[in-house]
Amino acid sequence: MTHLQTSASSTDPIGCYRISDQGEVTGRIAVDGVSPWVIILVGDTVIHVVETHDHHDPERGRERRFTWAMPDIVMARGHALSIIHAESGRRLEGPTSFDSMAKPRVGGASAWRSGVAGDLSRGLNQIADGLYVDVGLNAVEPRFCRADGPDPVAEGTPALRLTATEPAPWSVHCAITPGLCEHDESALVRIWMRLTTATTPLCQSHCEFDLCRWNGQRFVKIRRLRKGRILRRYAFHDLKLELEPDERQQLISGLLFLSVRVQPREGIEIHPPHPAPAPLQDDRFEDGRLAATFRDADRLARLSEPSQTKPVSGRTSLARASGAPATDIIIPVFNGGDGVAQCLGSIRDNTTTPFSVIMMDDGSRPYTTALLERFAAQDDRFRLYRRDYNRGYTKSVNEALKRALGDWVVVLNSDTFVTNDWLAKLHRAAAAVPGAGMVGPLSNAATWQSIPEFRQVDGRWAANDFITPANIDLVRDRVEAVSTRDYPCVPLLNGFCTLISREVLDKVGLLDEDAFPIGYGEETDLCLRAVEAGFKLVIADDCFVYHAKSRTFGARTRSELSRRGGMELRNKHLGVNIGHLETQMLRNPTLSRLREGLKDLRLELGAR
Amino acid sequence: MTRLSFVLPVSGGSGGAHSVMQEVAALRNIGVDASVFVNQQNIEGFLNTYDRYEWTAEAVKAFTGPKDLGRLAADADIVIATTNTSVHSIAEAIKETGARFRTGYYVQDYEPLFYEQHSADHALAVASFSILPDCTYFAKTRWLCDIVKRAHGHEVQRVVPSIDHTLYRPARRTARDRPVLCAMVRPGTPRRAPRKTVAALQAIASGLYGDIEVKAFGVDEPELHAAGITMPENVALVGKLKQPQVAELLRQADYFIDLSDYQAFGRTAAEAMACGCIVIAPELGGASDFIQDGVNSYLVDCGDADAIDTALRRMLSMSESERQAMRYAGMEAVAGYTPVRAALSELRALGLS
Repeated sequence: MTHLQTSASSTDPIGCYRISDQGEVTGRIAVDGVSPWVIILVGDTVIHVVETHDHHDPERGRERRFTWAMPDIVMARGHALSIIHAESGRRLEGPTSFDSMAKPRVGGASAWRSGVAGDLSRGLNQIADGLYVDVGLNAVEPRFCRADGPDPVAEGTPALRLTATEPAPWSVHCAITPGLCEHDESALVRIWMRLTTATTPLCQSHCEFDLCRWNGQRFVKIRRLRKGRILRRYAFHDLKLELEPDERQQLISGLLFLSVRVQPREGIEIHPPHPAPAPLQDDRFEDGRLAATFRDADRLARLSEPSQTKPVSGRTSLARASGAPATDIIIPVFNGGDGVAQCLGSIRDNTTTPFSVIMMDDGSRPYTTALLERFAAQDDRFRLYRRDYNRGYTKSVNEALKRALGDWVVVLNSDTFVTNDWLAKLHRAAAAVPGAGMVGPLSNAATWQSIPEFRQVDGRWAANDFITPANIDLVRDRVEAVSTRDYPCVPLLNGFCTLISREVLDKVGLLDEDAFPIGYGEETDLCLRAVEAGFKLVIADDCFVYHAKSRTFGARTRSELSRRGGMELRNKHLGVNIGHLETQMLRNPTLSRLREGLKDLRLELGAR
Repeated sequence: MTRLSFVLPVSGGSGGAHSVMQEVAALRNIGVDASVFVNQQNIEGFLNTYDRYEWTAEAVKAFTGPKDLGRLAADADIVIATTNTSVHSIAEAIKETGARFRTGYYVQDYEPLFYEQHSADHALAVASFSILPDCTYFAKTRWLCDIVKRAHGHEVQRVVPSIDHTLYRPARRTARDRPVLCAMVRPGTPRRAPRKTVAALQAIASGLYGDIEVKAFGVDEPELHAAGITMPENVALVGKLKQPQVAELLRQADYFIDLSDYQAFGRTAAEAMACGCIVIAPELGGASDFIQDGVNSYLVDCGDADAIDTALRRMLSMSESERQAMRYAGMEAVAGYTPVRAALSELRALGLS
């Protein structure tokens, strides 16, 4: 490699590079007063833009170096290569041509040559064999990683997740392999995609699917296959490939590609194309797809059906539910100090059925951690798991759910105060309603489950501030006196305190960390999935749990998180009429009667 | 005068499109300022399909995209979607232009059933029921109202279906040796059960149910060939027809069969009954709104081959007096499906009368 003079003149080379047999391009440029970017061209096409990095060479001193792994597709056809300095336009010294390899490996997107995650460069990036990504020159911090892909697609082929800090256009090029077009007649190819974030109620991005060929410098469109839309949740497009003879030849040469171009988005996930499965068959319908789509309509109907109130005749016995199953109570903790201690103390003192507590310390400050450690030391029913940094509510709860062993779990906010016999009451409600999968109590501040008021006159959710830890036993007594133990079924439960059957989690999965990483919607999502799966959500209308509604985030942040969570919910549960579900809650006769019976609660508490 | 605009981004020819066009015609005739917006790529085919309406030049407009739709609809009081794609177009138009018109969705079919589950098209069709806030939903059959209500929690106003009785009407028939049975074959639409229909036509044409002349329409030879379907030799393939030609065919037929997997309404069966045919239609869907099985025509579980055979035997073995009674009952069942009644019911559904 050419040595550079430390004091550059206009006749000195700006830099130089070389190409290894494996197609790795390494180079360096002088440091003095130059921009760090170099542009790589194949022919007259900008193929890549690389940022050089500071390097101290023992002999040459300070310089800037770069490395670029030449994509197979570029190596396959020897074309004139040049590298120029971005600011001055001067060429770096180095080979301008290279021996072309044999046809590029196109064995499928199975070998990820750059690892499972990393930064992307602006320009052409090779992710895996036959899988390339074109990143726009204006992209900000583009990154890629492997992702799991959509559930219905087995085989374990990973999906590709592309993200950037700002919305960027994406172009993904997938080699069309012989396996995708086995027959001379047309082949149907399926490609799954989704967006990585939801920013509007129906988040979608237009995309175009093109048949392209690599001409040695760039992907050239042969024809448009179709247009489509990418949504927040995974969905597929089927593309018909009817290849001409010369296109088949290009396929054999490894130069035929399916290109997906997406309008600017923060991120997309794409599962590489594979042959579409055979058309669905059904005994009843000539259009075999109808069986599944009718079932899907039934699934939506389960969410929309009016809540079923199942009155229990008279009042059930208030005897202890000594047969109640052992329950893991999960408490995610992020600071909270004395309030958390009160919560834990109330559990210890007021839980009358077998339980254990999983305290998930999600990076709390030392004061709170010390409190948790004391509880764990004093009572072996309290187990502590700690992380040194905050991962977010959803991940914290999921980790605890994976550790829980019981047939039932409770996810309980750390700013709550449970009342006597609370857990037994939740279990009684679950036992009373066939198919119950999740149960929630009443509270002072839990949206639809709040008593005596659920809304303030200004429309905001009520907190019923006159209820405090000092008088909650009285509140508990009043609720028990007024309740008719109907155990109404509802479409949604507030996530501040929820008893969940292990069956629900086994069937519908854990909380969605991808859509709701910090909470704000994850419990509604779980409720909807549980109802879709056929489980009932129940309110234990004789059980009261106090909720202090402490604030982890400020009002503005909460508002933004809530808005984002709402977008993710609507995009995930397309077609679900959330307003209709809320109307069901509003009109629930059991809750209405209960509130009527408690309407003088404030006065009653004040008079004592 | 209330301005209603129907967004109908199709090339025409389907039952839903016919429905909208004849109802818009009726709305205009009773003094409502009704118009139709068609997307640019379909406008030419659309105008060709509906060239018999003289008002298309004035009231059918093309739009190129959401902004253009928003501009066209800027003066409308109510903009009404007719397909799931038009729902999205209207939603985008509102978002792009800030338009403040009311919205409606005239649900012609439950379109999530058109697509494979988990496809992007299916997701968009499902989403179309939750994207327009404060939208007024209306549909012409109990089945449609019910499925939208159950799946999406929306109250759906039921409106009267319409048949163009100037076209679909009985006529004195020329004397024939044998009865005529016809069916529509649509290879491009699997839920219309083209293969099942052709198999039934073959069985009928073979004489299994008596000596019957059999005709198929709605498809041409190249389309059949592309679908890998062979029309039996003794079935007359009439080809693709325009509405007046379909009406003429039905006027000269005695029977019409529709063996679709389901029918949200069953327009062609209703039109056939208006022309004096006795029909077999799928029991799954909305045809039960106007067909009383065994009284004015027949309903059948199209997923059951034996049930289809039984229905054909019942229909094709009736005596002349039974046939006449059923024919009259069929005409009477659909006689009230007039465009004017449909138009008035839509105005009521929209709260405009």
